[in-house]
Amino acid sequence: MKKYPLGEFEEIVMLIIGVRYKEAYGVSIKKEIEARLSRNVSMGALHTALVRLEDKGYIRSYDGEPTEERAGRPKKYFEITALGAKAIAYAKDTRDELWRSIPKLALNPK
Amino acid sequence: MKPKFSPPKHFLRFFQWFCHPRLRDHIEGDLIEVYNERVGTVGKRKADIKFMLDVLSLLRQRIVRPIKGNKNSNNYAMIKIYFNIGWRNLLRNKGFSSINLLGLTIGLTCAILILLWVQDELNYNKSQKNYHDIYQVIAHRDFNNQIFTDRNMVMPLAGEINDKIPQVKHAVVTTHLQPRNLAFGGKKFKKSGYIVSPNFLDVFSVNFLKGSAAEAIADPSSIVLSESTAKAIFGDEDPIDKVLKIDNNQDAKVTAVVADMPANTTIKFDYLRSFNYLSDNVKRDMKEWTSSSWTVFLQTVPGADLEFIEKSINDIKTEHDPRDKDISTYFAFPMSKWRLQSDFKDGKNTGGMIVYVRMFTIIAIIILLIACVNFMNLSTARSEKRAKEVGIRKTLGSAKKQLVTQFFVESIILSFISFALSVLTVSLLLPSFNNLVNKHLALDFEKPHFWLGALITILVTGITAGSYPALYLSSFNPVKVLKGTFRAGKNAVLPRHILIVMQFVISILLISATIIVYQQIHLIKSRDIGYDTNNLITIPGSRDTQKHYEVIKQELLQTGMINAVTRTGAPITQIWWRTGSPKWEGKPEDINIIFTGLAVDQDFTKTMGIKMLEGKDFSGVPADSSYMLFNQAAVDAMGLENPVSMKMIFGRDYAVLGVTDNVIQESPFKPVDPMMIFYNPDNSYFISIRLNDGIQPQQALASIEPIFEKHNPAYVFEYRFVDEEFEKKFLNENLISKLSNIFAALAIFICCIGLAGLAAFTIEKRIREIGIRKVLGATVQQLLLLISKEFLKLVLIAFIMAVPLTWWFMDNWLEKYDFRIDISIWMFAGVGFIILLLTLLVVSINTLGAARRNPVKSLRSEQR
Repeated sequence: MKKYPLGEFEEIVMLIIGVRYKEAYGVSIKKEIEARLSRNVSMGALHTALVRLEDKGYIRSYDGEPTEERAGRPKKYFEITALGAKAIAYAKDTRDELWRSIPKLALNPK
Repeated sequence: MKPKFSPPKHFLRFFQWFCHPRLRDHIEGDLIEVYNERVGTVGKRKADIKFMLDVLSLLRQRIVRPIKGNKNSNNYAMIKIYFNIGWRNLLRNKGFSSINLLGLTIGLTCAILILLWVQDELNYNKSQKNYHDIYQVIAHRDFNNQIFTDRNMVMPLAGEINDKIPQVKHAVVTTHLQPRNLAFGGKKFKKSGYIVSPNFLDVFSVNFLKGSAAEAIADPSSIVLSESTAKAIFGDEDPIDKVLKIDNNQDAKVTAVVADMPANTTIKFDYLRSFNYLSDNVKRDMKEWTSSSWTVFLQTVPGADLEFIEKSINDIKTEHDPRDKDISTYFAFPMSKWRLQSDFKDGKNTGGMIVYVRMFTIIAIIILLIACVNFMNLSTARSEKRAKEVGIRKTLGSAKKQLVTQFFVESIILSFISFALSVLTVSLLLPSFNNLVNKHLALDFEKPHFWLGALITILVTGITAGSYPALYLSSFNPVKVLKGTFRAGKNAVLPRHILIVMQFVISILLISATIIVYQQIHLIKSRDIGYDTNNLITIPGSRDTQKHYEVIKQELLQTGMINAVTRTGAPITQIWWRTGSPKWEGKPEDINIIFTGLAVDQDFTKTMGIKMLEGKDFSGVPADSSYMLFNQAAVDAMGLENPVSMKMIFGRDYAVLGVTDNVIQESPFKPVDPMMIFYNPDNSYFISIRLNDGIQPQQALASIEPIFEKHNPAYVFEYRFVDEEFEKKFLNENLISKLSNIFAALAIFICCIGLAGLAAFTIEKRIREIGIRKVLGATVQQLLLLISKEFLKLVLIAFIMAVPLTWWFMDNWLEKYDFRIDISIWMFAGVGFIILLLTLLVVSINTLGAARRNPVKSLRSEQR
């Protein structure tokens, strides 16, 4: 059993929410991922991830203002919770730990 | 920047439908935002496609809503409000509500009565347990150029079927319904029943109250009585083992009492007996394979191969009577068709009662529809009044769905009340309705299907009546309504006018149809029937009357009230004998005419009042038995020039004594059949008595009865007035005519109610216009004309539409009659005139008050 269950894509989404602090809603997250990681993100994948993360309590949301280009639909902004912060920190620590454990030679194949 | 393009609508709808409501808004926002951006970069077409893909990509477990949907915990409160507001609305507009209520109640009452009748007809014979497996054996008999369908079978057929066809469980042979004189303790009763083969009770479900089925008719000297018969004869005494005297010559012991058969059953009887297979008569009949006068029923094993059974029956018949092979085709006629599809013509089933069942079902639906149309009409007419309510409700956040529900609840409340009222009316009317249609209909309050039917009727009526107003009223634009610029314009008026025209079309159709039915029946009734039915009495005779006939005749004539007496082999209003044609010199080979035959005594034409066209009547000398009379139809059918004294061979030699006028005996709707009349007093049991002119029948009967009591003491004195018997041939037609009168009248009444309501509304709307016109000098007549004009136009359109429709329908209906009326233009003109008058009347009554009103009153106040 993992201490903080977190998928790879979910981790990215969380990081991006952090990056776009105060400005993280569906479209901005999608664009940020697409720009930074040069990968396509489908609406479905993104929103599923957001629902999962919210269910796990790693992020929380609040409603923004409806705008004209969204035909009057409100934005929903996301931010990282304390638990979420721990979860990504934990993920990063495990990665770092792994990095540190790799012998230098292993990363320089001949 | 306003988005100029919108994403593919259906996909957006689809998304809104499947998405979890909690997520819907913001994901939809995301979708639209991305879409708009894409329209700018890659163009609308590609953006559309990508949008669709996005929507599809969202079909994921966590995003799709739960199947149950989201529950609104507030449902109860909302429903309560619907009812509350609905109820208040009905109470506030008492006039309007009561007009609607009256219309709907009448419509529903008609519909319930008709459907009760229809249900009873459809359930005919269904109380029989073996309903699906019982058949009657019937034959199509082909006499070269005409086929007639015969229900008479030979007696031994049933036994042979029992022995030879394993798929037949039981084959039953019975007599026709036999009227018999039952005597007990000095009292006499005329009762009708069957003599049957003992397995009758295995096939037909009969409910035994006393005695048991196994013993009941095993012995031919026993008799089974129906409950009502037992009650009539024995009162409260126990009838078991009592001995009855039958027809003054046989004794029978009562072995069982059975419940009366349900009214809607084909096989009904007062008594049952079994054949005495040891008697000489029955022994002889059991060997008789050509002369048919019995009825044969089958009960097959479930799922039997009918075609095989029919083929086997034909084979059996051919084996015993090879000559019959070319004439008769035997088949099994299922119980489900006995009542409703019993008519055959030229060897084909042509329906029967089912025509009327269908016709009345349609009428029931139409009447109910007219009532519903009234409701729609009046509701939309009042739309302007309720438009503001709709506007305010919408502004306060009412969804369209809620408004629709509100209006439906109102119409369902109304239909519920009117259903309750019409059930009440129906229970009050049922006795007289039963009397009219000669049935025992009842509302089954205990049965669950009554309540189910009630629920369905209420909902269907409510929803039909409420559908148009609900959808129409709830679609108002609140801004327009509240600004006061709303006017129910052409869009609202047109459907209303269509509805009114439709009602009038139906009314005109029903009135015209009623008149045509009446004219048709009148035509048939005024046909020359060839004899005089008035003042003519027929008395069925017996062995005793035959023995004492001459004395009886003398005594009858001595009363001074009686003009003539004769005897016939069958009642004059019936045909009991059909046969092939006699042979004569010069008869074409290929001709084969079916003749009817009648045995008579002297004074036949004198008593009946039949004209002799040629030759003379029998004079009562023994030599008369080698003569025969023809009717005119026979002479025409044979193509004879000089029939009198011609030689005929019919079993033996005859000479033609004379030609009588055509006499309508059986169906007044059909041409008269060719007839042979024989002098055969010994076989003429029916005594007919012609009263002198001016003698009251009751007075004559008082002196006739003692004569019969004296010479025929064992029998109940029975008599028939021939004119009444003849009138019975119109039973169906008279019923149809009466019912269609009633329903046409009701349809018009409902129509007028609707018209009145609409007129009242129009006037209310134009009250100020009327006021101003009056101030400017318009007279009351001018005002009446002004309002009426609008309605008269509609009536005219309806008239133009209804005429060809009626023509087509009624021409179809008339087709089945050999003698029929021509539909006249004048009849339509008359109907049109009546409808026009009615419209003017209804509209004027409503307008008069407004037109006479002091204009100051209508103009002074700001009503709106």
